[in-house]
Amino acid sequence: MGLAPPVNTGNHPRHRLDELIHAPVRLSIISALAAADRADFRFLRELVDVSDSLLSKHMTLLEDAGYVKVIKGYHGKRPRTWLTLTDTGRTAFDAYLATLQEIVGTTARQPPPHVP
Amino acid sequence: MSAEQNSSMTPQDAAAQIDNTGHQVRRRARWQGWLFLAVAVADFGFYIAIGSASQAVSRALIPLPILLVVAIFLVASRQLVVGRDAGPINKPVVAAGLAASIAGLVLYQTVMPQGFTGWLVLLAAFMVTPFLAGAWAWLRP
Repeated sequence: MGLAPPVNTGNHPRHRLDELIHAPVRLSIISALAAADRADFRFLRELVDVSDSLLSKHMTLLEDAGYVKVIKGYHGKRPRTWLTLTDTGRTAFDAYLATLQEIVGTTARQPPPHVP
Repeated sequence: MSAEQNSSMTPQDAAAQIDNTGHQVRRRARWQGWLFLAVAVADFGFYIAIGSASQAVSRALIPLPILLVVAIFLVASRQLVVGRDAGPINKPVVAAGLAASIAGLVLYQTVMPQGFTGWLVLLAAFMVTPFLAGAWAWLRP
């Protein structure tokens, strides 16, 4: 007899993790912007180590969700794109952090496996 | 897309990634602290020079603060990240720095002995204290 699939009761805190944030690239973007007032697109690209197009794709998702605000400007004749976390984004990230801490705390509190 | 599809990233991985990213961003945002430190050192040297030099030399040094302000704007405009507490830290520092500079200049012109004295060094140190405090706020571990 095989193992039964895990039953999703929906009670575990992991079900409350914001799916938009809980993805490696977007988590890096959001956590970078949470630590900054604003960050340049190039800085984020280097920090997250992704291509322009992939970063743009994720930025669009976050912008559409209202988590991130894109500010376009110029430095001399050179176009610059600044990114900043909105209040909605910061609230969502704070909630994500709280859920994450809850999960990590739950994991830490679990008793060690029984060794016969 | 669901959280389960990102199961390769455990909560511990996510927490570590958040810490690591935040640390890197804060490190890159420390340029503001180095800028305040540079302003403090430059201002201190300027006040000592202008207070102890002859009148002709003092007059020649007067444009230096304008050049310093231009340099600050140039350096700041080239940075790629601005730290999260930039507003709450920088605005009071700049306001206090300006107030200390004006108060120091008034003191020097009214009650202080002219020329290079210990009082001039103390006054110059007082005038740059807000910038040193700003540097400490950004650069403290």
